[in-house]
Order: sequence, then structure tokens, then C-alpha cells
Amino acid sequence: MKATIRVAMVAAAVAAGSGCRAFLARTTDVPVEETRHYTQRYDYADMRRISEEVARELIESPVLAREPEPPVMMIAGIENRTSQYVDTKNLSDRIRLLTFQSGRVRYVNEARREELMREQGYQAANVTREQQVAIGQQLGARYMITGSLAEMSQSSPRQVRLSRRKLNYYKLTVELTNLTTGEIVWMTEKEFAREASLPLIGW
Amino acid sequence: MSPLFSRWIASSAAAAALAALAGGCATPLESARANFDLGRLEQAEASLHPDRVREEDRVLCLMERGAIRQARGDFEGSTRDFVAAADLIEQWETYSVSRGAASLAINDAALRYRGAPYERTLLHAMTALNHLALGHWENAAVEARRLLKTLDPETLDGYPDCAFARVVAGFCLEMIGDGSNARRQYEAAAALNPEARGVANSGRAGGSGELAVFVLLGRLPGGGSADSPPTGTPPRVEIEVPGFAPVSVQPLTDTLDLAFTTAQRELARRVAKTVARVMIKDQIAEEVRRSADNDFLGDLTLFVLIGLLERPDVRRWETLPRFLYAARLPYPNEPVPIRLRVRNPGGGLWQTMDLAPPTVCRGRTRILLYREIPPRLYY
Repeated sequence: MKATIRVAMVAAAVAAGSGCRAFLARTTDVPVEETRHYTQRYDYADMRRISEEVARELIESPVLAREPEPPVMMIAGIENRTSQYVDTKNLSDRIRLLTFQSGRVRYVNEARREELMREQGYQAANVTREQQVAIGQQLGARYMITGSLAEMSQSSPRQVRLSRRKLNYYKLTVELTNLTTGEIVWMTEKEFAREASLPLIGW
Repeated sequence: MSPLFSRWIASSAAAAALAALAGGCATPLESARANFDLGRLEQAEASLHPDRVREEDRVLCLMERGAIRQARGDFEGSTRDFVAAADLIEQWETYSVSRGAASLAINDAALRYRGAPYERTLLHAMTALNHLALGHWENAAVEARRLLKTLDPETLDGYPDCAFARVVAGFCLEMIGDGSNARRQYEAAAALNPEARGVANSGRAGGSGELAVFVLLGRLPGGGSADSPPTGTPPRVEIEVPGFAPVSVQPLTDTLDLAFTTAQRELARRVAKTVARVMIKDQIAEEVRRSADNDFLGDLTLFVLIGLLERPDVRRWETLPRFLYAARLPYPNEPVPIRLRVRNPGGGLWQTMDLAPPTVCRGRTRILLYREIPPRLYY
């Protein structure tokens, strides 16, 4: 009996000394630039990295170099072709932000067109002539950005093992289409794959 | 085994038995199902909260509540539940040694319920239908891809395939323009059930639009009733759109059939595990009897471990619809109401439902999801 109590006390002391932090609720700020992956899935670090790479390539593309002044663009969306609920709007928003900040392109706010029209209608009806915005003078986009994020996944086959490996491959394709001619004038592709090993047996 | 330890085992077993007896009162899951059967969907939903059920039953609770919310037309709430259930199923992929040991000493209800393979497939199919009903095409396709992972031959591992789920996946992929993969799914569905050929092609005729209908009838009987295969011919659903000839369809999937086939597939494993568990329990009782030198304590332990705690695991997603139908038919370009008729195998009319024109459309294809609300059950 005494031995049992002693063993229990030693176990409690070890738990208290080594893992007590694990029993406490806590929060930690994580620098967003830091890459941390907990699973094989697409995550925020991937979103940041591939959007930066796409934006950089677009800014440095020969299409933009040939333009005498920053062309007006619109983003028609990036299609999610994965088996995850990926917010691809987030991805396209970041590409827009980074390219916009470069000063090499301009954008029309296609996502808020309805609100814009409503506000113009309101102003036409209720605002003094001097303060009214002019109607029918919106910019037309010359280029349209579209794309898709695709996924392929694999997992280790059924066999006697203690863990299961899962591999996901992702490919982002972004293209720039000339709205006058319908021609795709620039394209890029970013791909990456990640493997995670998951225990099949746990406590 | 020391006498102290044997007494501890006996008292633990008695405590577990008391807990099991106390658990004999209606659980939230049981009262939700009873309310669902009576058509009291609000009460059914209110009785279910994932935090108020055992952790082992959390996935089941989310699946049941998701189905109830879907029947109420709360497609967003239903989707949240289904997605949460799917996430938990994935998290619980790791086999828990402690729960495994508990299931050998108590019963299989000590294991976390992750759903039968067909339930995991239909979980994604139901989520995809919710997305279709909301017009969220890309999300529907996400669920279609998840669904297809569950139907991968290696994942399926001999468990039954589902024609309805394949049709749903094919339709979701078709809606985002992935025609080639959609066709593969329609073909796979037709191989399982020739009735699926009717949904492989657009329902448009002449200059008309199209109506894609998904009808979910009845509910799956309780977990103890899958011991016999479904008998008889299932009901037919007749869809009538003004200006066009009525279309009559058979179910693509009878979920009772899936449940029965699954139970047959697991029978040998379950029997072997039950035999092993009974032997372990008998050994524990014998040890208690011997070390405490007390026959009564040994008999009591045996009674508790086998007489009270040994019971089959009959957990099942019971609000899952029994008969699953899909059809594509011509529909005018202007919205018109739709009439559904459920006919018994002899052609007699069971039920007529008049439905408002569907508001969700993709191009010229309108989508209608109809979940029959109890008490109109057909089985």
C-alpha cells in the first residue's frame, strides 16, 4: 500500500514538474510570417506565400512592362477545386492588395458594384448638384484576373503500421485575360505538396 | 490480484452498472428521434446539443441534428452540424487504446462513434445537397470531392457503394462545369442501380429549362433492426410539372439495404469481439472470486459485467432518410409549382405534396430538395 502511495506521489510530482503548462489555458501571439503547418492541408502560410509569389510575378510580367500607364483590372475570382473549404476570396484579395500597393495596376471594385450603383442613384435623387458624383464615368477594366486552386491527395496504403502518411498536392493557376480580345496574355502556376504522418494508435 | 484490488473492480463494475441503468432513461438522442417521428422538429432540434451527450456520441448527435435541421429547411445550420461531424470523424481516426480497452471490459458503446462507412458517405451527400439548396456551387463540389474519397475502393474496403451519393457527387461536379468527372460518377451510379441512367443527362426538352429534384423519404429504422434485409418494393415518387408529362422514379438507394449489408460485413468481427469480451469478463469475475475468496462478490461482478453491461452497440444515424431519389426533368423557363406524389408499389396513392416553385437555379437548371417531414413514413 505504501509503495502504491509512493509511486502515485512520484507520478504526481513528475506531472506537476514537467507538464503543468499543458494544463493551463494560454494564448500566444504568433508572427504571421512564421511558417507553421500542423496538417498536410492548405493553410494561411500557404495562402500568404503563393499570393506573394503570384503578385510579384504579375508586377514583373512583360504585359505590365509594355503598358504606358497602370492598366485597370478586375478580379473575377479564383475557383476552389479542392476538397477543403478554402476561402479563395482571401487569396484573390491578397493578390489584389499586393499588386495595388506596387502602383503598377489599378482596380475597379467589381464586388461592390451594386452598392456603388445604389449610392449613385441615391445621390442623383437626394444630393445637391454641386456635390453629386458624375454618372456614367466609371472606368472599364482592360484585364480580368481569374484562376483556380486544385488539389490531389494520396495516403499510404492499408497495411500493418502505427501511423498513416497523407500527402496533399496543391496547384494554383492564375491567368490574366485581355477583356477586349479575350486572349489570355499572362499565366502563372504555383504548386506545392505536403506530407503529414498521423498516428493510428493513441491514448 | 489482491483482495483490495478485487473489491475495487467489483465496486467499479457496480458503479458502471448503476450509470448504465441511470442511462436507461431517455437520452437526448432518443427524445430527439421520438420528436422527429411525431413531426415536432423544433423540439427534436432543441433536445440535441453536442455538449449534452456523451463524447462518444457527439458525431451521432451532430448527424442527427443536422438531418433535423435539413428537414426544417435550415440548410446553413444543417451544414454547420454536418461539417462539424465530418471534422470530428477525421480527428478520431486515431484509434484510442484506452477506449479500446474500455470497450473490451464494458461494451462497444465505450468507443467513439465515427459512423458506418455508408453514413460517412451520406454525411457528405447530405451536406452537398444543403449547398445545392443554398446555391453554393463551389462548396457543393467540395463536398462531392470529400464524398468521393469515402467511395475510393481502398477506403470502402468491401463496404457497400451508394448510387444516390454518386449521383449527387456527379451533379455537383456538373454544376461547376466538371463534366468529365460528373459523367464518371453517373456511370458508376448506373452500374450500381440502372435507375441512375435517368439522371445522367440533362432533363431539358426543346427550349425548356430543367428541374433537378432530390427527394428524401422516410427514416432509417433503429440500430437493432438491420438484422434482416429490406423486403418488398419501395414506393415510387411521381413528379408533375405543369405542361409536361409526369415523371415517375424509383429510389436510387435504400439506406436500410446499406445498413444491412454493412451489418453483415461486420458480423464476424463483432461476434469475435463479443466472445473475447465475454471471456475477459468471465476471467475478471473469476479473479475477483478467487482473490476475495468470496463467491457472492464473484457472481455479482459477473452479473454486472455480463448481465448488465454486455449489450450490442446499436448506435446508428436514425434520422437519415430511408429512400433516396433523384430525377431530372423538363421545366418551364418561368417558375411554376410542382406536385409530388408518393405511390405504393401497387400504384395506389400514398401522399400528394404541392411544392412552391424552386428559387435556386444554376443557368437554366432549377434545384429542388424535398425532405419528407414525419409522420408520413413509408416503410
